[in-house]
Amino acid sequence: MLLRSEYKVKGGKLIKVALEVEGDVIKSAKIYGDFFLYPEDAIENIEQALKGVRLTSDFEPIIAEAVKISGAELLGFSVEDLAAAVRLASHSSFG
Amino acid sequence: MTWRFLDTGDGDAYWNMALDEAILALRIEDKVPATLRVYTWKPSAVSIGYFQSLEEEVNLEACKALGVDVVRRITGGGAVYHEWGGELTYSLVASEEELKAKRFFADIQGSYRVICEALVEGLRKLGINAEFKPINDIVVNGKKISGNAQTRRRGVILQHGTILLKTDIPTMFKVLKVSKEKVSDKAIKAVEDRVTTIYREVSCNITLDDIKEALRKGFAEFFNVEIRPSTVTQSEIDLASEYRKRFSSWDWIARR
Repeated sequence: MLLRSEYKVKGGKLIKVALEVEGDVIKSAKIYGDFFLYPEDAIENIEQALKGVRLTSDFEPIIAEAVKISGAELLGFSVEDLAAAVRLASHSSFG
Repeated sequence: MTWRFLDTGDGDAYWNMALDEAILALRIEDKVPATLRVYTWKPSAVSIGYFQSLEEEVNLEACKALGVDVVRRITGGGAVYHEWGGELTYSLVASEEELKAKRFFADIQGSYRVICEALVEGLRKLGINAEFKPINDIVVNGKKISGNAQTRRRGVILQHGTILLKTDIPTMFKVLKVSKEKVSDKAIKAVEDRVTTIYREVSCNITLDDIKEALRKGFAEFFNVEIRPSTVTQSEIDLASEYRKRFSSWDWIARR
């Protein structure tokens, strides 16, 4: 099943999330948007970190850890925003 | 140290993005000086941000029908419709260190501010009362006239941005995927209320050369450095020719 969300960040940027799920586990995650992230390829580490994670998990520490390991800097959005966007997608299965 | 000014004129989307990256790569190796480049897109093209979904942002069929190219940037940010004759793009490649020595900034947002303020200085020379609006916009009376995006590699910054000369919002709405209600006359009016252009702010009689020269002078004065007109080097052409293959490949364009 594919779960999607669009999350408008305060300040104007848009985060789009697509989660491929099996049962309540994320099989793959894609994060799109018009934000800035340095270095850019850190996005793949964040997406990778969400793989195998349960939909009921607290995504924020998982994302925070991936950002930290990648030495990434975010501009136009925060780890909290990203977690909120993933949470929104995870909830779309119950709607 | 003198900086370099390159006016590379019209180029296709793949070449334009390839040359920006080639200048960045060669600046990292110290083979070229800090460079301000100006260029235009022929044919007109859509560029999407590094993190954007091609499928969700671009109407490929409309692009094909209208002869509009599509390229993915190495920088983040949003989708831009680069209309030939309707906008001018600039890029600045410089090391963080050499920029900071001229105009200090503490973080990434600060570096956007400093480079955008140089652009603002250039626009002021044209009589446009522009200002930087975080995160990455330049506005005139609250209306957007320029959007900017930056990447950084090994201490070197590439920031490029588009400066609107005029708008073709109906075409923009065709090539970019916007929701149905956004294509209404009301929505077109709404965009017209939110953006402005050089032609609207100054006059349609202003030439592209006037604008380019204003930018060169604005950057030179803001960073207190000489920016001398120059030409692209052979190594830049060679490297850009390599990079161009990637930018024009479907793998890259559709990678997200």
